[in-house]
Parts: sequence; C-alpha cells; structure tokens
Amino acid sequence: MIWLLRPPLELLQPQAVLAVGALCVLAAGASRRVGLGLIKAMAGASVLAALLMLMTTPFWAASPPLLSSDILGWAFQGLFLCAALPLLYLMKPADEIPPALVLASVLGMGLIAVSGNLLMLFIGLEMMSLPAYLLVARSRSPQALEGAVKYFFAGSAAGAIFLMGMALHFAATGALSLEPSTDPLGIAGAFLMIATALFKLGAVPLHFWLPDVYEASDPELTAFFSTGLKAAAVLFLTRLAPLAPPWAMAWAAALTILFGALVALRQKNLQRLLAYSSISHAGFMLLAVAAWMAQGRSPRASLAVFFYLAAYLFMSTGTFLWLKTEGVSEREEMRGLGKARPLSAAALAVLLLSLAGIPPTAGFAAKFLVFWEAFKAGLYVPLILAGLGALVSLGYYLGLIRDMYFEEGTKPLASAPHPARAVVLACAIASILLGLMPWL
Amino acid sequence: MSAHWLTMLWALPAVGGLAALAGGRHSRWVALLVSAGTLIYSFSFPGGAVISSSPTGPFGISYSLACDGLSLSLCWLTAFLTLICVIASWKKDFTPGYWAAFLFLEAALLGVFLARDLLLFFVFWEAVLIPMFFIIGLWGMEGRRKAAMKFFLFTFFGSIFLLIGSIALVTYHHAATGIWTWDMAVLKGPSGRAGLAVFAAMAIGFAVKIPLVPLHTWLPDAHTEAPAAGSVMLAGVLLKMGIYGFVRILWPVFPQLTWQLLPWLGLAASINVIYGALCAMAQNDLKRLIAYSSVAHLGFCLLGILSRTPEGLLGGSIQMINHGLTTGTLFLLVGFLYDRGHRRGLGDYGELFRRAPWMTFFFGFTMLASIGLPGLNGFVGEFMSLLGMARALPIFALLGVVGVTLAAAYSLPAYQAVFWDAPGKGSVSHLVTDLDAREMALLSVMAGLMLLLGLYPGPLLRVMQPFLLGLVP
Amino acid sequence: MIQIPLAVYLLFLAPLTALAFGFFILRPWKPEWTHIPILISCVVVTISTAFLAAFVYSGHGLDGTLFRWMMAGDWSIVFGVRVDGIGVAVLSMVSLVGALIHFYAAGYMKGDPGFSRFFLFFHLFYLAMIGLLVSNNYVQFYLFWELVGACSYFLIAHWLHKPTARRAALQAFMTNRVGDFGLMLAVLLILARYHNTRFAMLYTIAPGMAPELLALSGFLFFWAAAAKSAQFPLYFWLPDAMEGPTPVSALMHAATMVTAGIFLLVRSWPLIGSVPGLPNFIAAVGAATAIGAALLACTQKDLKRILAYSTVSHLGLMAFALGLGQVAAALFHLVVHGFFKAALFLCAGNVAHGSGKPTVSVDEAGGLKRSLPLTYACFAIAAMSLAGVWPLAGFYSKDAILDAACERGPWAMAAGLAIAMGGALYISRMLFLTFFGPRAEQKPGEHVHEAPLIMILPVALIVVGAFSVGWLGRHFTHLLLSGWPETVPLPVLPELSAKVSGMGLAAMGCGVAISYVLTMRLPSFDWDWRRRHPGLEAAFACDLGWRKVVAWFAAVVVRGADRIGRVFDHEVLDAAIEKSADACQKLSQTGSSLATGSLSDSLWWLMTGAAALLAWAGLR
Repeated sequence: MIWLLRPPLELLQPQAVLAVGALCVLAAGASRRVGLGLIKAMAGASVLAALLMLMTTPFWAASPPLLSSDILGWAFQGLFLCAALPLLYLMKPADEIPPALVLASVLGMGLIAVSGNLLMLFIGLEMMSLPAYLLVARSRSPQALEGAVKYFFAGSAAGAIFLMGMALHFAATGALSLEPSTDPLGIAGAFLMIATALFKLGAVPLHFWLPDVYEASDPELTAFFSTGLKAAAVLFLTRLAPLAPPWAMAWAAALTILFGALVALRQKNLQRLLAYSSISHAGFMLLAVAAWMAQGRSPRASLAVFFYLAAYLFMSTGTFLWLKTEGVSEREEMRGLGKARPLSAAALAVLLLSLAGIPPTAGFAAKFLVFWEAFKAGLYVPLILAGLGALVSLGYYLGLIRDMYFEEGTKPLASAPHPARAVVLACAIASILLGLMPWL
Repeated sequence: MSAHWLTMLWALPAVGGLAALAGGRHSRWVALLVSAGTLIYSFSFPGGAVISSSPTGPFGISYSLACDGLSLSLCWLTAFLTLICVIASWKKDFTPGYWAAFLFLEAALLGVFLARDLLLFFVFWEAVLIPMFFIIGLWGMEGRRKAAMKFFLFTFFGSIFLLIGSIALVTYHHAATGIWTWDMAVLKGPSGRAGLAVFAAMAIGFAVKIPLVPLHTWLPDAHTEAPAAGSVMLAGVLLKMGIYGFVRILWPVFPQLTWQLLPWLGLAASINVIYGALCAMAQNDLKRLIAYSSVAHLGFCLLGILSRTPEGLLGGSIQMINHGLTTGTLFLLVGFLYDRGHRRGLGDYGELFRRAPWMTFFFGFTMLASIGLPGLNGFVGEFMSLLGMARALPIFALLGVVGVTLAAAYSLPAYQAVFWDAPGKGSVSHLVTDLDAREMALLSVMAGLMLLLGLYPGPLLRVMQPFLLGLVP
Repeated sequence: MIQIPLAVYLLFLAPLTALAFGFFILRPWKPEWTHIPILISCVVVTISTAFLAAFVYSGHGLDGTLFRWMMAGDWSIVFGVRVDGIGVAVLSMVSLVGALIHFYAAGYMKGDPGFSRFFLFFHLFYLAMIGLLVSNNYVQFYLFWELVGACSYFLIAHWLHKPTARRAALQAFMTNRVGDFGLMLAVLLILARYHNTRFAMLYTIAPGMAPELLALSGFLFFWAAAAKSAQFPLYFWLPDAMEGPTPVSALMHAATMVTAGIFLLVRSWPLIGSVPGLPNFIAAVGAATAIGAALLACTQKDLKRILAYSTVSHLGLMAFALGLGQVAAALFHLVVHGFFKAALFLCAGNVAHGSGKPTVSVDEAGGLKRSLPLTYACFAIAAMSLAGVWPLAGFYSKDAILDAACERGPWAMAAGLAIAMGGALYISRMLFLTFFGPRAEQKPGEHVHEAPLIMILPVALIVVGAFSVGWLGRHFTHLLLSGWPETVPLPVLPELSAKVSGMGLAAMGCGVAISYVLTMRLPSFDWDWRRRHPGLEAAFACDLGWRKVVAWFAAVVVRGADRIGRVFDHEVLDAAIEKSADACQKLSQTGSSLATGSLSDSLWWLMTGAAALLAWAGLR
C-alpha cells in the first residue's frame, strides 16, 4: 500500500494524483516551452498513475460525512480512467487547456465515486460537467460552439434543479445525507435529484441535449462522453439509490430504450445515430440500476451494472473511434466499405453486433446479465419492452452492416493509416473476448 | 470420451472458417478439406451418449456439450449437407468469405445440436444467424438485402422471447429447488400460470424457427433470395433447429404442459401441413414453392413429436433428417437449373426432358421422395409421425393424410411445367444443358441415400432411439 | 425361421436384377437392348409363379418376414411375404399376362425414342404389382400400391410431347392419391389400434375387432379401391389414361393395376365382409358403375376408350360380385377378365399399329377383317369371352356372378342381367364396327397391315387363356381356400344352374342382337344419332355430367389455394410484419422531429420533465 495521503483521506488518492497532473499540465503549457505532444503525454501519464493509485486504494472505506466508497465506486473509477485514455491519446488540442480539462473532468467523476453525502455529490457533478462544456466548445467542428452553449445552459439548469432538490431534502430531513425521507417535501426533493441524474444519463424525457452535443463534438470526445460521462451518471444514480423507487426507474428505462432505438432508425448522420443509440443503451443501464435497487443492491446485480458499462466502454469507444479513422460522417458514405476496406469493416461489424447484443459478443453478455437481474427483480413488463427495444435497435445496427456489405460504394475513399486503427481493432477483439464472461 | 473431443467437432469448422478467410485463392480447398474432415470426425462418435462439461460457474452456467443419438444424427446431417454445399458451389467464383461463412455456419449449427447448457445453446442459436445473414445478403438473388434483414430481425424477435423465457425458467427453477443451473437435462419448468407464460415465451422462440404458421413469413423470402447452397443449409438444417429445441428442451422441461396443450399444438401443426401445401400450390417460383413445401413437411415432424408415442417421436425425428436430405437435394437441383437458365419461374422453362434427361430423372426422383412415395425416405418419417398422432389424437392424423394428398397437388404440376410441358414464350430452356459429372456424382449420392433410408431406415432409427424412448412416459 | 422357397426370392430378385442391369448398364450405352434382360426376368417370374401356384395348390402356404422395415422400440413394420390362395390366384394371371404383354411391347414399342425408359418403368410396375400381391401386411401393401400408381403416372405420360397424355397422367395420379387417402388413413387407424397390420394376425383377431373401426376401415378401403379400380365416383381417370401406349393400357389399366383395388377388398374381406351394410353398399355402387359404364361404352368412338369403359364396367361387376358375398366369383372374374381384356386391348393395339397411329377410332376403322385376319380372330374370340358365350371363360365367370345375383333377389338379378346384356352390346358393337363394313362414314387407313409375329403370338397365347381358363373353376376354388381364415365364409364358386345360365345366355343374345341391328342392319346408326342429337352426344362425352362436377371441384381447390397462397399469405400475414416495420419508421420520424435543436425548446423540455417527475412524486 502506498500511502500518499493519510487516512481518512486515502480515498482521494487517485483524485490527488489527477489534480497534481492537471496543475503540471497547466504549468507546462503556460511556460510555452513544452510541446503539445509532451503535454498530452504528461496528461496520459497522470491518468496511468491515477490508475496505479487506484489499485492500492481500499475498496471499502468511509470518512463521514463527506467520503464513502464501495466496490462499485472503486470499479467505476477504473472505468473513468480508462475512458479518458483514448481521448487523451487522440485529441489534437490547440493548447494545453483541453488535456487539463479532461483531467479535471475525470477528477470530478472520481469525486462522485467517493462521495458520501449530497454536497460531495454536487461538487463532483459540477466538477465533472463544467470541463465537459468547455471541451465541447473547443472541438473543431463548426457547430461546436452551438452545442457547447446548449449543453451549458441545459447542464446548468440541471445543476440548479439538483440544488433545489438538495434544499428540499435538507428541509425535510435536516441533513445532507443520502438517507431517504418519507416527508412529501423530501420525496419531492428526491425526485428532483433523480431528474438531474436522469438528465446526465440521457434518459427520456430528459435526453434532448444528447444528440445535439454528440453530433457537434469530435468523435473521440463523444467517445469519452458516452463512456466516461455516462458511467459517472450511472454511478451518480446509484448513489442516490436510497431515494429512488425501482419501478419508476424501470419504466423510464423501458421508455428510454424504445425511444432511443426508434428515433435512431431514421438518422442519416452517423454521430447522431450513435447518440440515439447511446440513449437506448443508457436505458439498459437504467434498467440494470433499477434491478439493482429492487434487489437490495445485491452483488450479482452490481456485477451486471458494472459489466454493462465495461462492455459498453469498449463497444462505444471502438465505434466512435472507427468513425474518426474512416472519416465518414454520413450514413451514405458507409456503402460498399465491406469490399473497399475489409478489415476495418469487419471490425465495425463486430462492434455493431456487440452493440446490438448478438451472441457471442460482450454486448450480449451484458444485456443477458441485465435481463436476468431485471427478471429476478420482478420487472417483467419493462423487461419485455427492453427486449423489443433491442429488436428495434437491431434494425439500424444491421442496417449499417447491410449498407457496408450489401451495397455498392459510390465514392472512393482515400485511406491513410491512422493510429486509432489499432485501438479500434483492440476494442473489437475485446468485444468478443468479453462475451465469454458468463463462463468465466 | 475426453472432454475436448466434442468441442473439436464444432471448433474444427470454426477454425477452418478463419483459415478459409485467410486462404485467398485456396479458400475453397480449405472449405472442402475442413467440411470433409468434420463429417468423418462426426462419424467417429459412438451412438451412445457422450457428455463433456466444464465445472459450473457462479451463475450456474457451464460449458457443457452432450451428444446422444438425436444430436448425433443432426450433426451428421449438418456436416454432410455442408460438404455437399461446398462441392455444389465448387465451380463458381466466390470470395473467401463465402466458404468461410459456410464453415462458420456449420460450426454454429453443430454447437446448437451439441450444447447441453441452455445459455450455450442460446449463444449458438443466435450465432447461426450471423453467417446466414451474410450468405443471403452477399451472395443471394435480387431481393437479398431485404430478405436478409427480414430473416435476421424476425428470428431475433423469436429469440428475445426465448432468452427471456430461458431466464425465467432458470429463475423459477432456482426458486423451486434452490439450485442455480442452466443444464437442460436437469431443469424443470414451473407449473400453473407462470409455467404457461414461460412455455409460451420459449415456444414462440422455437415456433419462429420451425416455422409455425403464422410466424412463417420470413421463410419464403429467405429461401427464395438465398443462393442455392444457402437454401440447402437453410432448409436442410436451420429449420430443424426449432423442432430440435422442442424435443430437447421444451418437452423434457414441461412434460405435463406439452401433453395438456396437445390439442392446440397439434392444430397448429396440422395447419402448417395444410396451409403450407395450399400456399405451395399457388406459387410460380420454384424456390418459393419448395419453401412452402418445407413448411408442410415440418408440420409432419411436429405432429409426430407431439404425439408422445415412440413411433411418433422417432418418425418426427427421422423426418427431420429425411426432409433435410430431400429438400436439400431439391434446392440443389433448382440451383443447378438456375445456374444455366438464370430464372426460377415455372413458366420460364419447358420440355427440359429433351435437353437434360438426367436432370429430369433426378428431379423426378427427388420429387417423388418429397411427396412421400413409399420406398423412398420421405414416406418413413411421414408415416411414422402420422401413426404416432393417430394413436394420440386421430383427427390430426386425418388432417395430416389430407396434407399427404395435397403434396402431390403442388409437386407434380410444377414438375410437369418445368420438365414436360411445351415451353412458352420467353422460355430459356435452350440455355439449359444436362448435368455435368460433378453434379451427377453429388445427386447420385443423395438419391442413393434417399433410396437406402426409404427401404432400410433401421440403423438410423436405432441410433436415435435411446434418447427419444426415454421421453415417452 | 420359416423356409422361404427360392421361387419367392426370384419373384423379386429377377426383376430387380433386370432393372439394375437395364438402368445402369444398358440404358446409357445400348438402350435398344434394354428389353432383353427384362424379358428374361419375365420368364423367370412366370416360372416361379407357376411353382408357387403348385406349391399352394398342394396345400402349402407361406407367411414370413424378410426384414424389418421401420421400427420404434419393440414395435416394427416388416417387409414380408404371404403366399396364399387368393394371392397366388391373381399372381398367376398377372405374371403370365404381364410376361406376354412384355413380349408384345418389345414389338409395339420398337423404334420409339423412349424405348429404354418405357421398359424400365414397365418392368418396375410389373415388380410392384407382384410385390403387392405377395405382401403380408397393409403397410407393405400400401408401398406397392403407391409404387404402382407412380409407375402408372410415368407410363401414361410416356409420350411426353403430347399434352393430352401429360394431363391424363396428372389426373390419374391425383385421383389415385385422393383414393390413397382412404387407404393410408385406414392403415394408420388399424395400426394405431392393433400395433400390427399383418394379414395373418388380423385374420385371426377379425371377429373380435372393434366394429366402428372395421366399419370405418371398410368404407375407407372401398374409397381407395374406388379410385384404383375405377368405381364411381373416382373412375373418370381410366378412360383418359388411354393416352398411354397400348401395352400400358393392356397391362395396367385392364389386367393388373386396376384390379388391385378389388384385390384390396378381397384381401380385407375377412375383416370388413361382416360390417353391416358395407357389402350391400359395395354391390350397389358396383352394379351402378357397371351399368353406367356399359352404357357409356356403347357411345364411345375411340377403340381404346370403349375398352376402357368396358374395364370400368367389369370392375363394377367384380365389386358387385364381392358385395353379394361371392369372393370366389369376384376373383375368378378378375382373373378371366385379365385374359380377355388384355387380349382385346392388344388387338386394338394391333389395329393402331397396323394403321400407323397411336390409337384408332371407329371412324378410321371398318372392314379390317380382311387386312387383319389374325387380329380379327383373336378379337372375336376374346369378345365372345367377354360377352359370355359358352364354353369360353367369360361365360363361367359371369355365370357364377349371375348365380349369386339371382339367389340374392330380383333387383340383383335384374342388375346382373342388365350388365350381361350391356357387355354383349358394346363389345359386339365394337366388333362389328371395326372389323365389318366399312360403312360410308368410315375411312380405314390405306395400308393397314397385320402385326408382326412378336405381337401376334402373345395375343394368341392370351386368347388361349381367355378361351380356356373358365374350365379351371373347380381347381380355382381349391386354390383359393389355402390361407383363407376359417372364421369367414369360405370362397367357393357356386355351381352352375341351367336356369341362370339360360337367362345369362339370353341376355347376351339380346345384346348381340341389338348391336347387330344397330351396326349391321343400320350401318349409319352410330353416326346418325350423333348428328340428330348433338346435345345427347355432349352429355355422353362428359359422362352424363360427372366430369363437369369433378372439373368444378378441382377448380375450386386450385382457386382456393391460389387465394390463400398468393393473397392471404402475402397481404394479410406478411403485411402484418411489414406494417410493424413501417410503424417503427413512422414513430422514428415523429421522435426525431421532437428534437428541434433550439435552446429554449431544450430548456422547456427540462422544466417539463422535472415538473412531471415532481407531479408524479406528489401523486404518490
């Protein structure tokens, strides 16, 4: 055990590393003598160091009233850090700010992971979100600023709602702890806080910001959002678990899955399509959380939640990075890729099948675990709706595969080897290997 | 038998598929060698039950395979038809993906028939869809894109129910016995309303694959648009998965319920028989006609299996093998015809007996087998199935015999239209040459098997007996 | 293990070897020699049959298993052999007449491009018919029954370029299939109940079998026999089946295949003979068919069609005899009919062959006595046998039936006499119109020549049988008794009585006289009434309306299938799937239109969403 910080603050060790890393990055950038490549390397190194630190941090610890961690939080921190790596590797920042922003965002996510009461939760939430808004603004695409503004306003409003909920909860219980209260004021407050969580997750009906933001950002940034930020949102929701009724979550989940899948069918822009698809996947995550809550936070259900996000990390990163390496943004451009770029098309096909949940991929194992937990929790009808949603989502995943292979390509694509190719391939292979999970 | 030998059976084609992908120009040789090897290997198993399983994981899921008479016969059918498909597609210039797809398909199918763990079964069940999707979509006929999507989506719809049903089954089993297990041989279904719901869910999954009217509409399109060899595998093996699921899983898990639901299920099977025949009568496209006839034939399988009698069970099971053989040959023949004339309509040919006497002969022979002429293999399965049903609920046997009568009504006019009648305007008969040596060799083997299994099905019946007789109360 | 004599094995092995040799070796390389091993096999089979006949006549019998065909657990269907009286009786006729027709066909089909294919199917049919006669259980019987039907299909359509032949073949097969429905269902029911369909076993338990099952089986067997043996309502395929070459018509549709139905009834008689009402029903249908077909035969123009309707009539007569309880008389007539009908057909074939056409109608015949003297002689003798002239064979068999009819009552007697008279009428009409004359309306071919020896000799030999087989009545009864169960009345030919014989001969005389008047005294009568009453002719052409009914029924089925297959399946069932896909697309469109992209909309969504949740919270 390497102790950087003495108890009770040892839970914050990874965050401390990240903070130090961010400061170094900012300093290096300000000095104007360090190249951007080196800056990125510094950021990446600090993430790796944080991961190392995480290995040595205890799972269970509490430092009331602010800090508390469990195995779920510990595991999720690993996810956050892994989600940041591809972004840091592939981003092409104009200066040193974006890498620092990434580190800051991951720091915020980590705070959510170790938070023990509402205040800490809020700090983590804002710490995670503000850099995200700025990162969107810094993207290369023309709609970036528009997206960033929308995200900022919506996100701030969501934060305000959370504060309102926190206030009501405080009024009802007299504390900022995560204890549920039966007071109507407290229940109202709980619902407001849940609303924020659902907003961050991208669940219906609070999803509206997601397609615009995802479409406006660069693919690698969207990858980070869809994996890291979503995982953080899930964790956020689980922290609020005592306050939330599972059945409501389950119905919201079913609605989200169906809505996301249906709307994705007609999208022509690939990033927008994947945005709606990630809404749909958020629904599955929500279903997993609902099952977890309904079963009294059983370890098996936690595994289901975690595994879904871990599998989704690989699938989503791979898919968004694929978009970057091939340079396609519209659905029409996918035609004929099967013949033109066989290896790359095959990798995407594997990733899409995994997203759809076809055995023997990781996506299937993940959905399977979620379905199982949902059934054990007694959430029968949402489960069936989720299944039908999976069917609908298959419509566009298969449709993309169909466009790649069964159609003729129209324009010849210039292909240059891209460093991300290897990452995409690795994600594809991981998708299959993780599919063996139930037997391990 | 050591634990790994059964795995080798499905792993061999899977690895072969990867090798074929990498094979480039030689991929069809790889396919030939691997499929022949798999066939030979499958014959090396004894007829008795062989089980190989890994220790049960924390969820009750284990990697376990089992091979008894029923599975073994279906594995033989799969391996044999794959080899036939490879040889039949030999001369055409396909990309390595084609050969690899067939090998992957074979691997997945073998996995379905070998799996003993319910989740493993499901994984293989779904995995079958992927290579078939590509086979239809990449190398099929004009309407292939839509047919491939429809095939996948429709079957997936059924599979969702199958998955949820399986999860429910395992959970209820745990609630009843306290054990988490996914082993098919051990699971027992709940009773009462819950049991009915779980049965219905799993039955929907199997029913889409059988296919049971009205969940059959994916079948005509898929069969028509698939390439010839694809149709052979589709009709020959994939359609058996549904019935296999019924016998292997649904029945042992829900013995009481299957018996109580006999009138409804028997009615559904009878509808299959008659509806399939009537639809076939109306078709103008050869492949569509054969596809609908498959609906009818599988109705017979189901009738036999539902009857809960030894002769019915054996009849239904051997009908699976026989139908695979017969309909596979029919699709092969249509494929050979299409290679020459590039048309599939009944009115597009005529008087082929002049130009292609051997094709006429083989087509007539296979057609007679398909309508159940005694002495050829089609009769054995149909007769024993109907006999079983006659002992259970004679009214359905009557409907089945009506179906037998109707079978001639759709087959003979079609045969006459293509091979005997005078060609109409726009006929492409002049493009048709007779079969070459490779095709003749293939068809002779199939015809010989049809005759052999028609007159002497004993050995095959004896192989299948032990498991099936164990199901009879 | 029962000792199975070599003769039985030869019955199967000889044809199988000949067929294999012909198919695999001769057909690809020397198709014109295909008939040689087949003819040899015919001889072998005939000799084996003679041996078996002697075997059974001397009091032996045989019922054993050759191998197990289908099995499940401890139950199995076997492939076996039963050599008993009734089987051997018919077998003798079938093998002998069949062999002779094979020789005839070697001459008739010479030069036909499908010579090899013809002989292979023809001999396969021969094998199947033999197998049918020596089967020892119903399922095996069904196998050969269907195989016979399949061979018939391919042989009727032998001349593939003729659309009428193709249509006739399809009609024949489908009608037989409809009849087979009855046989298959009955076999399934018996098998389901008793686990075994071996005749030997069923004969022993027959008195104790469930009466409802027996009644149902009886009617189903009759349905199947009605299709195969051309009884009303399923007889209509037989006249059309004359599209096939003459040897086919002679062997299958006169002597053997069509008698399979009657044979089925005889075989099953120990079971169904005591079902109340069934024998009377069979007799009634048989008599009606016989009389109706005789009437129609008088109106046909094509020589082979006349003989076809005559066959229908005689099959009706056999059914009539069976229905009266006279198993022996029915079988005796079956055997005798085989001889004279085959001879008649072969003579008609000689006429056609001599005229250089596939078939000849009375318009193209006339006065052929001079150009075809040998054929005329054979025809005349066979015709006399059919009419029932003493002392030819037909007299004895018909008389036996008349005897039984007279014993039964006035209606039966009247029916029997009417059939006798009708038979004499149409056959003498045919004789007079074809060989005498020619009349003004007839245009016989220019160079009608007599048939070659290979075609005349078999006919002559068959005619010898048609002449003399009747004298074997007593021996016939003795043969039939072997293997017949004791529990059922024994098949015995009734003794001849002078009164009945006299009445029969009188009826025959009437018939001959009427036709003499209408063909010789009024030479143009046959054409006159057609000119004067075209409606009547049309009515006869469609069998007094029955053919129209059948055609309507077939059309209904086809249209129904079309409606279901094309319309219902496509527009209703498939449409349900397609519509759901469309619905998804529509929902998708609606959903994506909700995302307007404007910031104020987004904020409204956020507020509304939060408010909704709050309201929900409040409601709880």
